[in-house]
Amino acid sequence: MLRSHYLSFTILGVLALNACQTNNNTNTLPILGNRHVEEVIVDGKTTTDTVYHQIAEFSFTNQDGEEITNEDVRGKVYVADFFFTSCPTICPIMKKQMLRVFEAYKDNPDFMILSHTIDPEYDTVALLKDYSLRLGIEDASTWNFLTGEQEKIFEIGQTSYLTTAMDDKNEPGGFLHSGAFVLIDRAGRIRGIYDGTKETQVNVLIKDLPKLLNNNENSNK
Amino acid sequence: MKTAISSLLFLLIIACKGGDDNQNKGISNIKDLKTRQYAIQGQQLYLQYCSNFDQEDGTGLKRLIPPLKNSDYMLDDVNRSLYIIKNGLKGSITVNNVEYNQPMPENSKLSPIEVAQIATYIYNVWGNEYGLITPEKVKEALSTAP
Repeated sequence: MLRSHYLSFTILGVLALNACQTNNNTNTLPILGNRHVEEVIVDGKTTTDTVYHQIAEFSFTNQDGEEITNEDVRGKVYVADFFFTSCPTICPIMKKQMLRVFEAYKDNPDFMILSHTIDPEYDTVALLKDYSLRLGIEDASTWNFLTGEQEKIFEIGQTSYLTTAMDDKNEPGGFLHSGAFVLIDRAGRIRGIYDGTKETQVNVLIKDLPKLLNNNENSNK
Repeated sequence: MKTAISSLLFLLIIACKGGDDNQNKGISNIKDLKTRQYAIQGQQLYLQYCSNFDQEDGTGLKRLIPPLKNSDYMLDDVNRSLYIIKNGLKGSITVNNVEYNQPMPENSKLSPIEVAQIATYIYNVWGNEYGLITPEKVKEALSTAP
């Protein structure tokens, strides 16, 4: 009995220590997603290295018909979301909120937004261009509206950005998707997930962004 | 009938031009009890069915979604607005001299009284003072496409 208490305290202690280590600085955002430890051999010695969840390789087309890949976001901080232009439910609110993020950081060359359509059949390049212009986004230098192969968009949404994006005939508009804004750092790792339909959550995102933008860590990875 | 409403609205618009304070008036400023009751119900329905699209404050979204607040299109033809609340809208429209072309989804499940409540709400806040919109008026409006 005593022993098991002792054990619980030890575990608690370790947890508390861990918590302190990762949160010792409120200016640091956590690295989200699964991670695993790999053994690597450096200079003949075996050491361990933590491998973090990263956004997989992708290639989509933006509103100007240009190909956008991981190369275009390498070393940059960006926010990703999923929507479709004919979405009758949460998308107008998401876009209104994303506009606030855009307005706050559009002049920072290290900042980007990737909005993926989950209805690429309807949302052609021309339609995305019209949609972005009507939103007041004059060019694709910061905010990219991406279309591509639907399967690939669903896949990167679910497996890389850890969000929901799929067909659902029972949903208004025919698609089920979350309103998440996913914050990605310079090394392609998820550093925050925010509800893009909630003004208060987007306020947190706007406050969190400088923590990554003012930091050049891992920009060359 | 239509011209009567239009001229009435015109008079109302003229009457409203007195002060900009009108724009911030909400449900609590509605004097008529029945109109206020409709507007209270209507606000709940508006938040449930409409505000994702038209936004909570009725301002729309840039050049994608036209505003309801200070909208000439809405004031020009009440019956047309009632029809659109229920049946949605497709194609290009011009509101306050700006062209919009974003399909508005239908709300086919709304009953005439629900449409009347939503309409009473949006026609009596944000500076509008139209007064009560009855389910009978909604039924009449829904019977013919504008």
